[in-house]
Amino acid sequence: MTLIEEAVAPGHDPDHHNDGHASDHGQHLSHDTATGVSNEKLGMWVFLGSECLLFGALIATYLVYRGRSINGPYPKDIYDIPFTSVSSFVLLMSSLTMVLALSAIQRGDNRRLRIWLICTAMLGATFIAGQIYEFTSFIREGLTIKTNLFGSSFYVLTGFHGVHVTLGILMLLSLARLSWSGKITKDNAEAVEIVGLYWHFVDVVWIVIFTVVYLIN
Amino acid sequence: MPRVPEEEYTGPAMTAHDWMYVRVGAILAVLTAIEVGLYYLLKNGTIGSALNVWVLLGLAFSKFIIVAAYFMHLKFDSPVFRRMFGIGGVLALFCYTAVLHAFGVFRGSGHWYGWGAFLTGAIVVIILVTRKTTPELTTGAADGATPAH
Repeated sequence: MTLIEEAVAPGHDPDHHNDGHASDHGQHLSHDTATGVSNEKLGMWVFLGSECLLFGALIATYLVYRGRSINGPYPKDIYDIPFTSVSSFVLLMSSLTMVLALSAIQRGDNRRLRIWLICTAMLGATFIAGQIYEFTSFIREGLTIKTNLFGSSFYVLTGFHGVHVTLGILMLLSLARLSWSGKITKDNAEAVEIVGLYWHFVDVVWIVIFTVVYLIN
Repeated sequence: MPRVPEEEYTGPAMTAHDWMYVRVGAILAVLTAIEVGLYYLLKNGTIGSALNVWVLLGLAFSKFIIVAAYFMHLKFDSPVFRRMFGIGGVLALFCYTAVLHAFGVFRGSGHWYGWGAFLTGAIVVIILVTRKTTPELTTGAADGATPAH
């Protein structure tokens, strides 16, 4: 049994976070924990807090190296802002479909949960496909990770983000598969919520990257 | 994996809360369009660069807050989660503003520029994480469906 399957298994600590439909999480349902909130969800928030530091380091590195490359290509030579804007829009809309997936399972609508999860995964895959296309075109124009400081910091930052999105897609597809087999229900919708938090986080990180890296030159 | 027959859902396809999310998504799309528009205004020299940078940062920060508040439910959820995330955010802001300052990233624009950005961001984040939870969406949805949040 995988970790996700264990988390959503019907017998998994049912009194712990299944004390009502997940829609009640806004009411701070009292959980049988020291903090009064779900440990799994708290763990995800702590993880996301630590991820702020990881992406902060990568963005700061990009900013420190910006404008210090002694040979091209430079950002203004190769950025395709219209293309990246569309990619950003796609990722932003995937956050909307993710929250609609959570809303669907919280009212017990498994069919729409799967539809929205697949939509979210497809939008995420579109974003990744765009990133692969962008990287490929940059490499064709002579910018590799070893070309200059801009190339190194740019590929590390956006590559790390791309890896996070890819992991998110895998988690979304796992959830869709589990839902198909009847292991995701209204009572354990928190599993969807936790994956959703991760997904929204990669979206908010991209909001910052898009502005700081692409738009402010 | 074998398919397990599931209970038929007979409620509405979209609830009032779902439409609220759609409206939030539309606002985010409009903010992104404004960002890209500003980028071209800057590129064409139509407006000053310093102002544009601040406006772009403000728009990005607004989008960040909107996604965290509505899609991640921090506006309605337990303050414990906001604090956990806020600690990471404030630490990152403080730590990397200091790093950028140490490496002279703000040198051309005066030291106040970076520290001003840091202080503004930190104050906003602290206010947000210490605010009380908004109670509006904690009761049942008007359309009779299970409330989303």
